[in-house]
Amino acid sequence: MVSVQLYSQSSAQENSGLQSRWAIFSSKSSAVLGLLILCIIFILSLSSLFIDSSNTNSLSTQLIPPSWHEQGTSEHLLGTDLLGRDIFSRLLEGAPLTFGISLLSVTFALLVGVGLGLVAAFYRKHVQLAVMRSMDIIFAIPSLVLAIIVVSILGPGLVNAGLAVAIVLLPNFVRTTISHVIEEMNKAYVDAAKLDGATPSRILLKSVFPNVAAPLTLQTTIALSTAIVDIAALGFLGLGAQAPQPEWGAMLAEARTSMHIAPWVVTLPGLAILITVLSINFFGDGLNRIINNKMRH
Amino acid sequence: MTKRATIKALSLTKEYLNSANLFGKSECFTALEDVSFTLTQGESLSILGEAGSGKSTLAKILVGAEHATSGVLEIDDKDVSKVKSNKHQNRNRRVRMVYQNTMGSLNPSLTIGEILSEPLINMTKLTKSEREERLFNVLELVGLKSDHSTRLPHTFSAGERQRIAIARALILDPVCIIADEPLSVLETSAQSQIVNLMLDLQKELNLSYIMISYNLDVVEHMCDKIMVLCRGRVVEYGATQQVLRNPKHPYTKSLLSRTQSPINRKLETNESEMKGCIYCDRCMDVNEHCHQQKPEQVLVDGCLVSCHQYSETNKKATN
Amino acid sequence: MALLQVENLCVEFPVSGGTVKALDNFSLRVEAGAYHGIFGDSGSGKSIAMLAIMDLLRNSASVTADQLSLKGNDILTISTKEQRQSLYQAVSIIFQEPENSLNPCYRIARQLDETLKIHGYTSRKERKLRRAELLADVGLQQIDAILDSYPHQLTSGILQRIMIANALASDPMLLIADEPTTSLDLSEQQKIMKLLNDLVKSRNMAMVLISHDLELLKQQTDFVTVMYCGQVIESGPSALIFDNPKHPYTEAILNSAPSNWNLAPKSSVPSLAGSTPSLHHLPVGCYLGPRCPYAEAKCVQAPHAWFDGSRLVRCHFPIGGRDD
Repeated sequence: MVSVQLYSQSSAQENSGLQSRWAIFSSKSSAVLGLLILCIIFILSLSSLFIDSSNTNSLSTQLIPPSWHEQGTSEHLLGTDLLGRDIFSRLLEGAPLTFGISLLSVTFALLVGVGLGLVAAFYRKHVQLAVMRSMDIIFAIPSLVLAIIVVSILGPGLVNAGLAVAIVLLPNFVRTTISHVIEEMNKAYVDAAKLDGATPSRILLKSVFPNVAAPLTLQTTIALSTAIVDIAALGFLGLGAQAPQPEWGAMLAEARTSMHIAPWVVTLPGLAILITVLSINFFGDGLNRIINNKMRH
Repeated sequence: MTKRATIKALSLTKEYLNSANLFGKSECFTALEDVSFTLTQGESLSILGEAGSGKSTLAKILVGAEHATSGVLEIDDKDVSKVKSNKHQNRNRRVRMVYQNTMGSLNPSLTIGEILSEPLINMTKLTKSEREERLFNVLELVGLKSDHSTRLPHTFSAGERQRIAIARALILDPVCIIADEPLSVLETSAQSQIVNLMLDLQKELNLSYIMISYNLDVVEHMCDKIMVLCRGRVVEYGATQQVLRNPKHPYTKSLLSRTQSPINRKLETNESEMKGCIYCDRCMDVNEHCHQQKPEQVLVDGCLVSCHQYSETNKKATN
Repeated sequence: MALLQVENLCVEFPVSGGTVKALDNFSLRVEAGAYHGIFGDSGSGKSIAMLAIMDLLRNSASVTADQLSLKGNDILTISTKEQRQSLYQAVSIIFQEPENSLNPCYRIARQLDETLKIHGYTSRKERKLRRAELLADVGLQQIDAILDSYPHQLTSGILQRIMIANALASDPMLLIADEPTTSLDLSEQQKIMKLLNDLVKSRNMAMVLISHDLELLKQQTDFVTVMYCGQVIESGPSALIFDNPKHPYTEAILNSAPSNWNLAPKSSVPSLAGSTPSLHHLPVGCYLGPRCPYAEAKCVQAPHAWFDGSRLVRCHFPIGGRDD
């Protein structure tokens, strides 16, 4: 009650939108750190697509510990695995697989989900019922179980895993879109826009969408971290990326046999997944703060 | 030169058909019944009524958001009652609306320029530069500056936001503006500013106003006529001074003295069964006749009143 | 010794880039049984002053004062449960929206019980009796049905009466009402105001009524304080201030209130130009300066509040001149 009274009187000399958003975002250092790490991973993913690394199996370089270990060498920064492959370059190669496919998966779910949500929110009654109930069905099945089912139907593989995860993520986007669009449609400024002669599509685009973009952005970051974990899990189970693809989840599966004698082979891919997901969460936190701050007005 | 009637409403009725309930009966809810009034250029009408009395429905019909079930509506000498008003192109651009909630009626993600250009883009064929010119003209009319057009709504005070809402109504050059409690969310110093703005605009542009407000001092100062609605029917309609100083209808009397306990139409189920006067269940001066027959509208001291106390037959009976 | 003594109360809120002074040297002196009113628009600090007095801002703002005491007990240095208890026994507050003051998850009976437990009604029987007594005092009938209901089942008029009953549970000596009737139906407004006045008189309680309804304040209060942008700009006996305002803001507000118009229909009404500045960007010197019709060069210096024998005014050039 008290804070609303103060903050509702904003001054005319407010910072430009982007500046004030950055100020809010960067006020928490973890958010900036998250953003930084994500950028690095993104750049590494892109660059590793173009760099051809020579990573051959070699019995002579089996299970070399990371360079900081007394038995490690500087040639293999993070050591080698059971088949003598350099772990660091494998992680780099795996980045576009784990991170990249997750990104594509989320993008697919976002576009289809928002599309379905908009159609359902607008046409109401039967269409909405059909969409909501099918989303409920997808939602009712635990995400990993559903992904496994889809992959079992489509056949194992990284792309199919990506598709499965996209289906799993779909209900969240549809629901967010439907609930926020319906909420927006009841607002007085949408009525005013109708009286201003706006066509339904114009209302959706100009009046409704800008206010729905914020919660959707948040949903996307959450979906991304879920996607990464799910795709890695599918890879671990052998249903996603198949050996010898250096997808991080698949690397975890391969490392199981040598876990006890060479813990770095399992720890490092696990850390990679952990760091990526944490960065996304921190970044999402920062975005959340911007959205909450803007919503207070 | 006699003043033309800007708005002529004759027996407007609006019925909503509720979808069938569990027992298969679909009920008819009469939001408005037999509402008639006229408004000439430069005149202001106040609609007095509680929540649920039908004043919002009437406003929606006048701006074209809803379509009356029966009756005739002429705006600026054009009969708009036959037009299918759910087509977005046929919105009554001659009658525009200013809402109560200044913050809620302006899209928080759009700049003032975008909000004000919307009606121009949709309903006129002006070019971009013509639109911009009109935008700046209208901002000036309401006392704002042209460089305000790049700012977002929340950066303005409530009084300024109400000016923006008025600008949005003015931008299509209407003959009438409907203002729904335009002052209630404003602080004291802003209220009188907006009143002055509205009065100036009325003089300058020969605008008519329909004010929905409970603030009787404001109504007395700004409006020429008052129409009192009860349960969707007009119970009293006449000059402001007459209605305020010398109310005839029992409902008007209790409303003005603030002793009226709220009528909640949503909870009441007996309305459709009332054959007589719609106020007979709450009226202090009720008699048997009131339950049986609907009162006619009678002219008493220059006001139209719907009450058996003043009807011809009653007069004859008492004489 | 006055019942409530507030001297130079200041409240500052931390915001990004510094602090905002929501209340600047607020002073108030309420004697037992007196009826005070506080008038101010949004951002004037009127609600914040009351929250500070009720010691509700301790964790969210920095609260300082030369003196802030109730019945002689200092509020700022409350540290023990007993001290806090004795404060809340002596003063109660009612807020604007009764729907927001009651917990939607519990029935009315349980919520009243909670209050009574805190104020020492230990036995169930005692509480039952007291509950019925309180609800009857506030003019409610069908008490059993009401006690058994949830807040959402009752109208706002009934809810506000329940809040008044709640406030009276501890037999307070001071009742603070922050816009108690603003969000109620018009028919309820008069009734609730009458109820409050009757209760206050019959129990000889002191009352502080916050409102932006000038007519109401004029009719009900003995003393009134006018606030602007966190400062007290005029304070004194109501009759004096309403009939003969000395601060330009008070005069402008009184003139621009619809009830005081009495002009030819559709003529220009008196109004104060400009809009209330945001607390983040207050003008230099007198806060009313940019809007004041009487402003002169000296007004860029912040005026001090001075006492002319009967009232307090914060203005370099009060209307009618200074009488000292």
